[in-house]
This record gives sequence, C-alpha cells and structure tokens, in this order.
Amino acid sequence: MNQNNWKRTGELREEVLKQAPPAPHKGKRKWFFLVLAILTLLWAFEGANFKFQELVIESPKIAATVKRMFPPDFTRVRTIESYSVPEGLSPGELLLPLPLDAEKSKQKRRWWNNTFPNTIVGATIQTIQMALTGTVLALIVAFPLAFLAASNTSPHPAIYQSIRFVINLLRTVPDLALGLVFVSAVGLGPFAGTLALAVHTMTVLTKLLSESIENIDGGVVEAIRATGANYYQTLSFAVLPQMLPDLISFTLYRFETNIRAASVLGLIGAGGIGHLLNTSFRTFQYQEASTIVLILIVLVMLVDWCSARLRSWVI
Amino acid sequence: MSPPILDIRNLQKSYSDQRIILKGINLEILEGQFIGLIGLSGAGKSTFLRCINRLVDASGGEIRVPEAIFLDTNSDKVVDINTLKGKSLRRWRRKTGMIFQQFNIVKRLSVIDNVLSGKLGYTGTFSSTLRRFSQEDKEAALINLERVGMLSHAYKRADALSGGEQQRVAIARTLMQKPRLILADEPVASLDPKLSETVLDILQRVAREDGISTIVSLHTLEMTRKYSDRIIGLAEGEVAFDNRPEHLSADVVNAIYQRYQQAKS
Repeated sequence: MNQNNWKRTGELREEVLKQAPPAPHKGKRKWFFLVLAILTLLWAFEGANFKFQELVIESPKIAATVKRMFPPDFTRVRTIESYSVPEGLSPGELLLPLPLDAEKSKQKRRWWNNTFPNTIVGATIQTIQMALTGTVLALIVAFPLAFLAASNTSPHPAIYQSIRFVINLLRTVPDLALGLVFVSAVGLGPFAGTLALAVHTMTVLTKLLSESIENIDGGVVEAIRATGANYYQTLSFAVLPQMLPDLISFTLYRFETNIRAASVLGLIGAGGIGHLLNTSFRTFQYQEASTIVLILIVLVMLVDWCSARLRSWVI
Repeated sequence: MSPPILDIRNLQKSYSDQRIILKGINLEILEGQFIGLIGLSGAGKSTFLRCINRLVDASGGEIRVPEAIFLDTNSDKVVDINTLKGKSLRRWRRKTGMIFQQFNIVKRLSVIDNVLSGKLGYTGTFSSTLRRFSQEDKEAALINLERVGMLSHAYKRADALSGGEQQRVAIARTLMQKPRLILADEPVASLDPKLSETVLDILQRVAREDGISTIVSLHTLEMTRKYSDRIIGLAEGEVAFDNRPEHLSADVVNAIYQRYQQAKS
C-alpha cells in the first residue's frame, strides 16, 4: 500500500471489505447449544426433585427449624461437669505434658482418648489435630512425589507418567469414601479420619505442587545446571526457591480445607467434631448443634486469618 | 604454544523435527581469547554455545578439550566433550561458566546465595543442597561480588536488583566456578546501551585478570568490534567469518546478515 491511500478512504474501505476473509457463521450452532443446555437443566431439576412450589410451601418449616437453633446453647461448653475431670488430677496435669506416676498417666490417657473428645471443646481440638497431622503427613509424601510427577524434573518419562496416573486415579476417590474405607480397616476414631485426610490431601498436593514445578522459569534451571550442579543441587537452588510460595499457599489452603473435611468425617465415625454435630441433630438438640456450627465457623475463620498472615509474612 | 582449549571439529546439530541448526562447525579456541560471536537470530549462536557445555547434545562432530583443564590430572590426553557422562560432564561444566540473556539468577534467593550457587560443582551434595557453604566459599563469594562492584548488595534479595545488577551477580556466580571458559549468550541484549557497556567492561576485565577464554554472542557490530579480539560470524549453521575485528568489512557483514538483506529487499 502506498501513502496515497488515506486520500481515497472510500475506495480503501471497499478494498478491505472485499479482501477480508468471511466471518465464520455461528448462528445455528449457538441456538442448538442453548436449547440443549436448557433441556439438560430441566432434566437435572427433575432428577433432583427440585420444585420451587414446594420450596415456598416448606419455607415456614425451614424457618422454624432455624429458629429452634437460636439462641445457641453454650451450657455444655461452659460447665466444668461436662468435662468429667478424673479425681486427683488437676487441669494443669491433664492439659500440659508433665511427668506423672503410672496410675495418673493411665487416667490421663483414658481421659484424653475417651472423655475429652466427647466434649465440644475436646472434639474441636481433635479436629484441628486431625487436620494438622493429615496435612503434614500428606506434605511429607507429596513433596518428593511432586518432583517425580513434574515433567521438567522427573528423572524418566515412565516415572512421570505412572505417578501421574496413580495420583489422578486416587484423587478421584472422595475423602468421605476414603474415610469409610479406613474406618472399616482400622476401626472408628480419629486415626481412620486422619489417614483419610492424609491420603486425599497427598494426592491433591502432589498434583498442585507438580504443576507449580512445571511452571517455574526453566532458564534458572539451565543456569544452575551449567555451573556443574547435580540433580539434587539443581532442585535445591533452581526449583525449590521458585516453587516455595506455592508450596506454602497450597499447604495452608489444604489445612483450611482439612479442618472442614475433618468435621464432616466425624459423621461417619472417623473422629472430630462432626460426630457431636450429628448426635446433637439426631437428639433434636438444635441449640447445641448451632453452638457447634458457630465454633466451626469461628475456627475456620481463625485458621483462614492465621494462614493469610503467615503467607504474607513468608512470601 | 599451548594447545587450544577447544578444538571443535565438524560440530553438527539437528533436531528430531529435521531442523538443521549447525551444519558442521570447525574452530579452534585459544586460551585467553575474547571472542565475539555474531549472526542472525536462528543462525545457531545459542545452540552452538550450549553444545559446548552440553546443555544441548550435539548430533555429530567432536569438541576436543585437553583433559588437564577440567580433571585433576597431568596427562596431556585430549577428550571429546560429546562423550562425557555424569560426573566427568559436571566436572567440565564447572570449568565452563555461562552467562544468559535473561540473567537467570534465582530471584527469591539472596545475592550471596546466588553467587555461592556457582560453587555447586565443587561441593558435596548433602550440605550444599541444604544451602550450607564453608566460610572459605563465603569469603570467595564476597570477593567475587567486589570484583563486579556488587559487594554492598550482598545480602539483598536478588529480585530487588535492576537488570544490569542481576547480570553482574551472574558474572560473579560464574567466577565462583573458577572457569577456564565463559560462554555468554547475548548477555546484554536485555540491557540499555550504557548498562551494556558496564557489563561488557566487567566481563572483559575479569576474563583478562583470570585468563579466561570467553565467547560472547552479541547483536550489535559496534560492541562486537570494540570488545572482541577475534570475531566469529555464523550464518545458517556455518562459520561465515573468523578473523580479527579489523578484517570485518562491510561485505563480510552483508554476507553474514545476507538473509536479512534479502528479506528486506
């Protein structure tokens, strides 16, 4: 094109329109997919037994149930009786890791294992302990696996493919299903729940961390290799510093998620506060149930806040 | 006269998708030379440099190097770099420093840790993986930072530095390797002209001080003429020019950048 063109803009316009490729026709396809989407949605509503009509009719009942949950009943949290402290043991001896004689330590252990987790405070603490243990165990396994499951750090494509495959397969199993498996394997209690959390979190963390490793700047890896560094030194100097912010974020996020998950696992008898929540609802102790829900909300918010602080401090 | 530090014979590189990058390079690189490497983008400059320290594996030819340069030996045997594996390959790499266009320093580590990473080829896996270095290494790192004028930044995090400063840290990292050869792949292409001169001045000075042979690929003729004592021009995977800067005539330049000329007209 020469510079006279701007004088003949009309001609240029015609020229451009003539030369431009035809715009793709999407009209018919668009309508087809819209109708298909509406039909699918109708089908889903039908299957889920969802009726707006019934929602209106039932809404007073829902409101009544919610109303029965208020005000939350804190009696069981407050009164010392509900903790049934064994005689001869002071609260300090119970809660702190102090040296005790054989009889007392036996009593203490029994209290920690059986009595305390059945109180709301005890179950809450157990939920946190389960989430923490599960997350840390998962991280310990997922950290080395992630390097093997990332295409740029895996020593061999076969290792990369097979770990990917197993992890993806395992990840499709919901943690609740894992909980049921472990409950039937190792019995009721927090051990089963923690195992379920650890396995599920391990699969999620391996996937997230390996993707984080795949996103690092390859130039830095090349530069460290060029110094004559071996595999482990390259991981330590080029890969780890780049993936560290993700590592911290993902682990903290999974810890939060595991607090929620640990509360649900209680429903199937795998320890934690979910068990108490279930009992309260079944025995129509709605006000007590709302207390537990309230504690859960505060707990999750607290963990969320703490991890946000920790994240900004480290990164 | 001492034997060449690099004796490259018929070096070839093609990728699995049939692209031929290097068509047979023959060169001798002598000790202490500062060599400017010029050529179009795609002429094979980066690939050529990476074949020398085996970040890229050549498809054919030889890179012959006296064994005594990188192994603890007094023999005058000459080995082909292309045949090296595992530990002996890492031994060769630690004697070959590399500088990159994008600096490639670890941004989330401190400046001194970045410099210390140049020592990785010399340190045991266990302690260095945990980023623990000896007092001696730390002192050497500080001395090398001083040599590139970055001593006062030693304990800053690397991402707090400007591009020119990052490249100087990269030079200090390379010096930690006690290299016999430095390969610099467009070291100043991301820097403005003034910073480019600063970085090339430093590179030239330290190379002279330590007697390091240096191959620098550059994209401006002016800088190439100013710094190099030998210029190698690559065109379409072959050596199109190899002589002293004063012989780099306009015709030769045209031949090297031929394809560009043709495309433009």
